[in-house]
Amino acid sequence: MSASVLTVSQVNGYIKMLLAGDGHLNNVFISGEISNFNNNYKSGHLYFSLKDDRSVIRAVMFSSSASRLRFCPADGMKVLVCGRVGVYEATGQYQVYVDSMQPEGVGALTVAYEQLKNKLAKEGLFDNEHKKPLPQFPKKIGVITSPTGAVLQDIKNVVSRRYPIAEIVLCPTAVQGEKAAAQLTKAVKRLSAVSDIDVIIIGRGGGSFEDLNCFNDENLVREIYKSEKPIISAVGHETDFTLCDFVSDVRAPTPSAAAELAVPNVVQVLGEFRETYLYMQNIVESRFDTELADIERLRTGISVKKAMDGLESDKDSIESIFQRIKGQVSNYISMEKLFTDNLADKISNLSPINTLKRGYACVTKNGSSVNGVYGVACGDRLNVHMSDGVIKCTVDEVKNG
Amino acid sequence: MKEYKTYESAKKRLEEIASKLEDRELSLDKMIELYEEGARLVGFCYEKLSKAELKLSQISLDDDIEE
Repeated sequence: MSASVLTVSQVNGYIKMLLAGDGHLNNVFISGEISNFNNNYKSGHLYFSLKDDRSVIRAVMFSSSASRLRFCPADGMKVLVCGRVGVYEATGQYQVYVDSMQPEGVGALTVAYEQLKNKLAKEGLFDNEHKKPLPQFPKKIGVITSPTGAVLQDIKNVVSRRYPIAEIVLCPTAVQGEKAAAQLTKAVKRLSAVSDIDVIIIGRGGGSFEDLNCFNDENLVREIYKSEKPIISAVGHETDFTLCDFVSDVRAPTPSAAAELAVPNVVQVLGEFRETYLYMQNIVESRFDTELADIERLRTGISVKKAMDGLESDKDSIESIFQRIKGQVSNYISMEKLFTDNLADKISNLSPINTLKRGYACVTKNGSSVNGVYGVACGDRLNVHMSDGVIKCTVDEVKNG
Repeated sequence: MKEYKTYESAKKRLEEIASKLEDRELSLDKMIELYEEGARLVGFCYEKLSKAELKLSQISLDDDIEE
């Protein structure tokens, strides 16, 4: 009996191939406790083991994936990882190649989220090639959010300040709770079907993972993917990522930022009109110059020949052209006034100085602005900035609501 | 001369005019006519933009019942 002799590399290579070909091992979710955690500072790769009460498995998370972690893993921490099991040929050791990792305890919702995210990503729903560009000058902006929340107010404020000629079409929905996902899905479908809506913002304020979970609904994600309108997602705080954020054409960190992405700045738009006007002015003026030069040449030619007939009518046309230019010049001057007056108005409307002059104040603490009572405590030193100076205060009491 | 009802239609017409003015074959009369219309359109758009107030409308999900 002769058995074929293999090299070590061949054996390891063969085992590697076997594991790579296994459908189960290619996409696994493993829960376990971290031990022997080692963060390689040079490469950024994380090396550790995962263990339960009976077994241990080696794990590696490469820096490209590790950089997306939103917590710091450490020994003893219970985690849920997603990745594939493969072989490192050099040592013949099999290990988990971790794509993503969550601290355990967040429970079944997180598992479901990660699984759905992987599935949809594989289908290509989050691919950049499907992202639609935002319109430059939208007329109607669809907004899907709670009719009572701060989100709508923020969006209204930004749009009315930046580009009030736009119109907001609100489709009010619940943004958390049982019915929210179905309502959001329906709202995306409805607004997408309105022909003159140019862009849609879907949003809500911050909340717990559970609160935001309706934005991880599979039907909602697919509906957003199907929509022919560009969609801006502004769900939760900047650090919260929902599947709605991944599938949308643009993700905004806040609802106000979403509105700023959706509309241009009116000052800029007015500036563009002015450019267009000056451009037209320029074309007409240079044409006048050419025509006048032609006529002048013609007239000189005629007078040299002393041909009397025809001279009068040429004179007439010169006169009429002079009249017209004079008309244009006065027109031009009034347009300049229009441009400058309007721009000055708009710019002063955008500046907070006028608001301060009406008796409003900006409050800051340690140099950063205070937007609410949250974060202010008794004894804090606050600066109240008025239009004509600063009042320095100490907080006696903080009341909510 | 026709009047423009909406900012959008005025803006579109203005863009048309700006590109038409580039035509070197244009008669002087036509050019002045276009220029004057363009100037009025710029004024119209300025006015609209400056005086615009944000409009808000609502589409309710319950309207589906009618479908």
